[in-house]
Amino acid sequence: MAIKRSKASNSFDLFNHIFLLLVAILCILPIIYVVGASLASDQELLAAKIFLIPKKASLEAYRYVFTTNVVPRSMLVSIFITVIGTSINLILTVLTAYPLSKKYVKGGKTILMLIVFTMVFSGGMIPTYLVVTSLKLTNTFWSLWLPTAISAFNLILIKSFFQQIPQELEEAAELDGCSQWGILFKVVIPLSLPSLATIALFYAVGHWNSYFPAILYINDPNKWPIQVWLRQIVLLSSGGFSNSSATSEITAIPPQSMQYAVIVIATIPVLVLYPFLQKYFAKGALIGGVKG
Amino acid sequence: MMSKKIKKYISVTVFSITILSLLAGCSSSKKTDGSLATGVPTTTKISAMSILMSAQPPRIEGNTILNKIKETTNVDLDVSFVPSGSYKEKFNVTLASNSLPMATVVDAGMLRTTSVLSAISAGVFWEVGPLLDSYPNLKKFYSDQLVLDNCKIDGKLYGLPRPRVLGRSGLIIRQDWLDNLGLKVPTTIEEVYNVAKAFTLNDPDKDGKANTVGIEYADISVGSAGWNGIDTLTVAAGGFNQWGLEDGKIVPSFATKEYVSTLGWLKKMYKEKIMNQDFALVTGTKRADAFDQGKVGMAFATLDDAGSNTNETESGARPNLMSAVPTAKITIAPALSGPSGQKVPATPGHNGMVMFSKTAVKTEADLKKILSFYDKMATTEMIDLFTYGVEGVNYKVENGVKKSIADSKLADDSYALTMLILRPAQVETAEDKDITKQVNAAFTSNKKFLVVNPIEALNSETKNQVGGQLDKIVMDARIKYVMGQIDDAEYNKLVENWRTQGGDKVIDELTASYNESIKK
Repeated sequence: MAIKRSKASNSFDLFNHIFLLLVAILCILPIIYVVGASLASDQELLAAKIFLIPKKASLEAYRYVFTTNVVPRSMLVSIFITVIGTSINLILTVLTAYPLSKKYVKGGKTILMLIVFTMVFSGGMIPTYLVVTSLKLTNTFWSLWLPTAISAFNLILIKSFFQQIPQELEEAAELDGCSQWGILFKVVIPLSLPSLATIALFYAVGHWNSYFPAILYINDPNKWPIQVWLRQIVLLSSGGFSNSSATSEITAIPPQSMQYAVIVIATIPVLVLYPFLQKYFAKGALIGGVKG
Repeated sequence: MMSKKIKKYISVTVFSITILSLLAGCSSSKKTDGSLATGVPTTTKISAMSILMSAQPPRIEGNTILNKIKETTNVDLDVSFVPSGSYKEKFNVTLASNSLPMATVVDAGMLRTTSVLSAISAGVFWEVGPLLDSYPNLKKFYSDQLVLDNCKIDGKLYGLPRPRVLGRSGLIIRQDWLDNLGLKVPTTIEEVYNVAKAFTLNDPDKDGKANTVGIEYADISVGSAGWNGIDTLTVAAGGFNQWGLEDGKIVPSFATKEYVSTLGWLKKMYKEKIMNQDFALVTGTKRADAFDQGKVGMAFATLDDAGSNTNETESGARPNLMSAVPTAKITIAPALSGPSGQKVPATPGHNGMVMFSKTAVKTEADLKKILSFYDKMATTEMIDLFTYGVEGVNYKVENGVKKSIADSKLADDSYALTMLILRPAQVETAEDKDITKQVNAAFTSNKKFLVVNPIEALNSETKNQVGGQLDKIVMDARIKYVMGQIDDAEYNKLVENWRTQGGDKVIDELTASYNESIKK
């Protein structure tokens, strides 16, 4: 029997669709603009007042980007930082969340309270800088991985998820002779894959996008991640850096189209990562362990 | 037999100790020793922090310039570069955590900010002024006393100023348009108006279309006024360069009749559409872009915006313009003249200083070592090192003239260091392109026509606090006046507004500061 829908319901649906379509267009317009600008020649960018899609496509910007090996090398640095950093994040977060998810752990509540405290209060930029430099972590990648190794928010997320896993499963595993580590790796983690994938994505994107800690702690320009160079290129080619009184000595301003090309290049790895993680979102949801 | 529990505790402890020692081992030990090495020819190490202005990292290994410096001066420069976009933040954090290296670049935009000023009063930086006399090369290097004076804070010099050209602002013009219309380069503001009119109405690019704009004007805030042309025109009319001294009092330029007469000319040009109608929104970069598109006849800018040696064009002229309009020719106007002859507004003459922190440079003896390094770098030999490079690698001598070797990577090796090493404001070589020669000649002749801004080294608390808002009042008044939205009476009312909102206080404080400075 066909479900009759009222006129009001239909018009609401229509309105909804149009509204969502507009929002989607608004979201995708900047992306089209950036990709389009990266494929345009510099002249067209300078001349056009409104610009979306280039009239004459040119790979000039991309060619310019690869004339020096700054972008490829910093991209490798970024990938390295993100992969190792996210692994450290995941390991530490899971190892901290699991015990805290058990009610019988002594002092668990206190530790959790302290961790939540850090969500509200933090030392600030200067004290953090002092701590990192006194630990002699400057100019190493550890200064990027350790200070924010565990995000309190993600920790609480995972902890809550662990608490939702039925006790019976763990007890069943223990009865079968599984050690504590075994329970963690063979039972709990496979069941938590969707939430783990989520926080892995949060952490990974955080690492990929960060530029300020790199500027603060890393002195060797060859170790800077791509975001540092991207920011530098964008600021240089748009003239935003000049201070009021002095120099306008700009020997090699990157052409405008180059900033867009670097933006596209810097975004591609993350865009590629998403579909792969989507597999884990689905996988975790399908594994149901408890019947009845 | 140990209980399971104790075994567990031990294994956990051993595990954590292993991790911690791995961490300690992995950290690179870059021990920058604070004290300078003394004794028989051992290398002195100087740590520095400098601004990176380019989009690629400088070469450190195999850098011919750095090696030559080490060879000649026995100094090992350990520079940590920070991208220009984030230099301010990094500087503030390093300053606040007392980890400044021996030499730090502090550019003009940061020099008079509260963080640096309070650091100076807290004694973070060495006072260099009185020591300069014992360094003959540095004394010769700073031939313009004005440059030193403009860097003083409370009458004292806390670092080595980085000199820049004083007579730098001017008018760049399309010479080919002048030729097409049979016009001469303008020398007075009235001639600027006439040429702009001809450029707009008489089809100077001979394409049959009325698509040209006489002059492209960008209204940037009062702070960077030197580059938008207002001060260039005002001083030519006999007025002040942003601020002036009248009857022992510091007076702002925008309240004077010369300034208002300049605004009158701009108003006329705007009304007759011989100036771009969107000037209130145009920034310096947009103005440069508009000029490059080839439809603009003139623009007020820094003279070296016309072109330089680093451009790949034959004459050195702006490359974007040349590729848009291959027949274009750029020229620069001489200093404009008015009732008191030719005048040019003087820039501050510096882009900040290199400052030396007391945390890293512990004793005056150490400071003297660094100063003698800079003294050595101020000799003609070392200045030429940065201009020409190393003989045989970057240049060869033909008939007594230095000729550069193509693709020798001189810029790659030297450019990044030019922020830290003192460079003379103007450098001339035999291989200068036409535009460079013209610009350099203008820089030199402009030295005779400078109108100085007297408040460069003066301090006013109110100005630091509400200066930005006060500047906005001036900018709004100016824009409205030029667009014809307000008349003289209303403009004066807005000037009064500026006075009551703190302007009068600023005048008083600046005058007091000025009186202090002439006492010394």
